[in-house]
Amino acid sequence: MNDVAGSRLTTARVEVDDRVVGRVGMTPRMREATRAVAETLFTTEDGPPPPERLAWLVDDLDDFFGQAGTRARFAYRLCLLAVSVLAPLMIFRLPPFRRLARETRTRALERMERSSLGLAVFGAKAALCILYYEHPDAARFIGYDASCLRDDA
Amino acid sequence: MTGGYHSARDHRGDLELSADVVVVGSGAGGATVATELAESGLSVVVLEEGPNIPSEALGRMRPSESIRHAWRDGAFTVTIPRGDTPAINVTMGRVVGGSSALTGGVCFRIPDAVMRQWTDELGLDGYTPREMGPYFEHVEKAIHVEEVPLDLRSRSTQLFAEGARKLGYELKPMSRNTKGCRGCGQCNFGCPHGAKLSVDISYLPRAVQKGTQVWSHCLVERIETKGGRAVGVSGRLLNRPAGAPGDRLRVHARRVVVSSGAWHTPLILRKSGIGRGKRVGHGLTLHPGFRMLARFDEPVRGWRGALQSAWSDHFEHEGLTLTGLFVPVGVLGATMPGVGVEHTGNAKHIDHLAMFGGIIHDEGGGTVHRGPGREPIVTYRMSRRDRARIPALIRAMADTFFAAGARQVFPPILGLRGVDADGLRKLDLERVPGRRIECASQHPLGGCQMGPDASRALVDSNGKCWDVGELYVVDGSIVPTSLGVNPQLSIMSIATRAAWRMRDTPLT
Repeated sequence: MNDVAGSRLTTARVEVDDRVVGRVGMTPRMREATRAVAETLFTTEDGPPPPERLAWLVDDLDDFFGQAGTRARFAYRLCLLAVSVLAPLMIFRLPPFRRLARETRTRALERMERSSLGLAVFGAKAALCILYYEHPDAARFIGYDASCLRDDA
Repeated sequence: MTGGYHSARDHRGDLELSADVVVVGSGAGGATVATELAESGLSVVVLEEGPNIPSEALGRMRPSESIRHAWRDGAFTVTIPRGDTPAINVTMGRVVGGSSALTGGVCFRIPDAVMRQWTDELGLDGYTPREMGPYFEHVEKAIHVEEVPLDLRSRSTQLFAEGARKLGYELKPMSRNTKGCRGCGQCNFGCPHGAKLSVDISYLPRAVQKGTQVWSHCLVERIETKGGRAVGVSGRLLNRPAGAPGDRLRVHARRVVVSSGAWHTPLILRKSGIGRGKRVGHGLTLHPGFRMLARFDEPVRGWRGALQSAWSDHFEHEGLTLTGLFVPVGVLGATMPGVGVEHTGNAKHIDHLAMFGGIIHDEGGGTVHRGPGREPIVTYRMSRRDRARIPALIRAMADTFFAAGARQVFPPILGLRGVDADGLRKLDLERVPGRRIECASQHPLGGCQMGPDASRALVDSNGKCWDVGELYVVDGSIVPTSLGVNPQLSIMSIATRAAWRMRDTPLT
């Protein structure tokens, strides 16, 4: 693997001089809900992801929405709100989603994903997956090595 | 103020500039016009709403970093569906270089059949293959268009090609604006090796060398007119905390070129009161695109190779173009159905997934509306004909992968688990509601279609506004019909044509 490919498997962020400054990414409540969805979504046979990986994911997503803008944040917030409120109701449990046990959350998300509200789950899942699988450990888990076809060129 | 790159984010106080020409937008259309005019000796100012991110920095980013900084709305832009239409996720650039910085680099000339329609049915002058030839050649040379060699094809594309051959059709090699590609499959997010010659690399530096000022974080709201002709633009600098509009922006110019793309050009024109009664913002085409994933027993590692290297027009008679692509593993992860153990179990086999895509050569079902904020709202109603093409496209791609030996395919239907060949046959694709279909677009075109009739079209075949003097529209919004192929080279060639006409027309 060459340096460039290797450098992409990192949790660090590239400095951008012309970045937007001072925009809030996620509110504390959004961060809590995000963490609950992520923990549910990325649980493996070995259990939920390590807390530090989830913490990195929430922080990086916060930076993501700080840069991507209010519309992106609004869209994500809508998806998250739908998951937080409607997913528990679909399995006859009271919201919010984040207060349910992990197994119950899994059932709720599965039910919602297969329903006509699946788009809301997909929206939240898309934002979370794009970032989560960039973490070097998560990338390794799915066999991604960031290599190029002509790494030796 | 000298030529070069400036950030309005760091500017304090109102900004007033003067130039021969102001170009609104720095993408494929705007950068091309700006460069051609700057090299002809005119003073040019280019205004871009997004940030300026050097290609070297973009190339080092993780995909999600590129998306958050350089993609409009962090890639969350979605059309509002009307009727039984999927919600379409439309991705566009919002960065110096525009969407050109974020394409797969694919370059197609305008298909001959499309040009025939433009000249024979729409009455546009100068759009025969012979007349457009010099412009295509000029741009192809400037951005180094080359055919993707077979050995740069990813295993994902090779497998699809094998399936196609077994079914009796061949894939054709794509051409891209690259030099020294190493096949990292990252073109959409910035090339790690600077091999993709997007306009921020191939054009804008030439314009800057000739004294052009390129301003990032500038929001243009209106075209200023006086006595029936454009005299400049006005707007806001995005220099308040959180990138909010702050100080005033005013550029005085003898000629105004709007190149903000099919999404925003109609909005700026409407806000300026230009094109009333001409259906500005109507008839937007999107090339609705659908992906197909297939799981193979062998490791595929589809990210190794050119992101886009092959295509097929075998289904052109059905209005379908098949096109090779791959997406970041994170995006692939999002398409893996299930939650928790089921989801991660599926994701664990991502390195065994192959992918191919298809686009519909659509009728113009999109409309750009003014939204409550500064972004437009776009609705899209898919015609019956186009809607009926979705199942055909899904089957064509799935059959090809099964012919190549795929164990399972994952059709673009929300929540659907992977299916084998029998499972696919049992699926009643015609009855899947539009809202459950995943659909994406990278090619918004139209909304300010050029035409020969001053009473109906906004601009003529050179992009010159029929109603307002010294106002030009040069971007994807003037393309009068869907192209059926990636539009970057087409837009740049149309822009070159317009720029050469402008160059030969003395300023008022």
